[in-house]
Amino acid sequence: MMWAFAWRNLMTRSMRTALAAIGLTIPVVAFLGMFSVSRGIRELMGSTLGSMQGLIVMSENAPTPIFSDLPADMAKSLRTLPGVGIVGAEVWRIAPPIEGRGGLASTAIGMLARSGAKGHGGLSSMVVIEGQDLAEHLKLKGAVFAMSMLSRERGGGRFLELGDVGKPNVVISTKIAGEYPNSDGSPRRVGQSIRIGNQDFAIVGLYNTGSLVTDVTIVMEIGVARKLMGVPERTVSTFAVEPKDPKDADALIERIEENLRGIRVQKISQFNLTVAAIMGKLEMFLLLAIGLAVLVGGVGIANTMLMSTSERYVEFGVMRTTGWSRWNILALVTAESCLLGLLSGTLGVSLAVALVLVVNRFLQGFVLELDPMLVGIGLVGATAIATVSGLYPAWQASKMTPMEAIRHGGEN
Amino acid sequence: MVDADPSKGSPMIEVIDVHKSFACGDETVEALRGVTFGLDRGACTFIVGPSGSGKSTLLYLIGALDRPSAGVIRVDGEDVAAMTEAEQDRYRRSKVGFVYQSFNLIANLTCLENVLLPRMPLGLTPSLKKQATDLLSRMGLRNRIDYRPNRLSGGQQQRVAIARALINDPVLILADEPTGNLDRAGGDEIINLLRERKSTLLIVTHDRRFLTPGDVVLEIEDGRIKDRAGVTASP
Repeated sequence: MMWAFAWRNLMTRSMRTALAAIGLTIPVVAFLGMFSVSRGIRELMGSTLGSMQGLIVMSENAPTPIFSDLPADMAKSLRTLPGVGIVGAEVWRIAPPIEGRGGLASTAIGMLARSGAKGHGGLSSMVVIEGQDLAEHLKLKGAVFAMSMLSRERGGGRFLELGDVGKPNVVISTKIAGEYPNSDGSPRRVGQSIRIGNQDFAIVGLYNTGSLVTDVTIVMEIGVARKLMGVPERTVSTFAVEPKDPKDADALIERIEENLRGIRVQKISQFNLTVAAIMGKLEMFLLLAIGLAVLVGGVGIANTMLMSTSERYVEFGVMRTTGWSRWNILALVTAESCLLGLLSGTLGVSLAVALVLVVNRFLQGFVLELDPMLVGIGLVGATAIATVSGLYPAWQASKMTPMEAIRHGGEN
Repeated sequence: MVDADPSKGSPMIEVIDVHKSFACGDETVEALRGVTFGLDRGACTFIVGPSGSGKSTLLYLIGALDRPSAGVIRVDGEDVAAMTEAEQDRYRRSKVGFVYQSFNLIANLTCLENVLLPRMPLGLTPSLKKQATDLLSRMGLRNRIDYRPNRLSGGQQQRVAIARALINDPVLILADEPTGNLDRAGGDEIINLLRERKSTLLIVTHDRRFLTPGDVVLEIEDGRIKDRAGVTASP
């Protein structure tokens, strides 16, 4: 009955209640929206890269390997440095149209395309070519794609071998296999071919790293990649370097950067860490902004409750004369602010879920993640903030003696 | 000074040398200046006097809505002024029923819920709801139990307020100008309803037409009992 009474008190001035609730609904939506984006990005990155050992050497100012160009003879210099184990040259480029589709233009269109459209776009769907120096790469202990091959039982085929040098054989991800399906809609399989640019390539293996960032890569032998992408012999994009002693990785990074100019060295696992660090900072910044919004929402609720209680002093006085204690009054007003918070939380969560569903219909290759825990935090958080915000008005209402409440109310 | 009749046992209400003063800006206003009287159980007492004489203040002190500046107030053997706040809450809930001039019903609650208001914090039971419904039926409001107060006439609202005052079966009913906002017929009806109760009745009023032989009349003026206008008073 107490809760029903509290709800009715809120609904007596429904517009005021709605405005106060909206004040807290907005931060809830912002909080859920921000974390759904953040979780989506983390999901996009996956965890495979984070567990990989080894280093990558690329141009100093290149943000990613596809924009990096290094002289091929740098491999010799790298090999002379103490602690360097394996040095594998790599060529990275954005893939030409695949099966007649793709490329940058299609990526841009794809970002705007609705779900179900044929153009597979979105930044994470942009396919890239990696050409590997197989003689060296096959020695790597922590090779991302080789370690992520599907088992033969699952139709994974095999990774590239030395016998694939000069041959149009590729290893593709299950994601690419699905995004460029056969005419009957089934994903491409090992043994079939895939048209890249103007050339057909035989699919010899399928991998799945679990990261949407790496699962856009078509792996082939470096010579084949040079020919396909028009990359001269003297140029490579990056070098995959494996230290002789994995514990020596940090010292080796310093050593390479001291001895070679115009490059930067990064742990492969750091790609994830960098994104995580950026996301962490972004989340902190957004949390601060949301914190301010929450504060404003909380003050709005406190103000609403204060107005509501100050209008009802006589009512509280009458309740006290019938035997209600201070605690009963405190409980009633706190129940009202708690319900207001629950209302804000429910509104905020509903809006956020609806927004995520709508936005996910338009996004390609990237999904906003809104899990039940986030929804719970939004709901409980809003309720807790409103409850705390209502404590002062509740205390104000409860601290008056019945006589004061009746007199004070009479003055209003 | 009014004394209780010793033949009727211990008095229901004992008020001994009660003073009450309020701070009003820089001045101190003495609302009650040494009031002493006793009232028997079941007595119907009217407190009369001019505005500002201290009638309502006395009523609220007996109802433990406020504490006297000095003096002793005993109701049903309990020293009201010496009670803790929790004890006063319990006292108001279990022994006293208040009726006000302006009805003071809660607008968000139905008639039935208003009657049940004193019991709301303790939880409502079906038997309590039945008791409240019976009370409203006796007040002639059986077909209004789900109405909000704004749909009732003044007389009907005051009848709901009386039902609320009676829900805990109090030993003492305190009414502050209960007919002040009602017409003549409505006022008569309310006083008659109050008189039907076996509880001790203390009514503050300006209207002497309600006084009947057998009633106790306390006339207050300037914070003092001026006269026990008496048991034999007649309108």
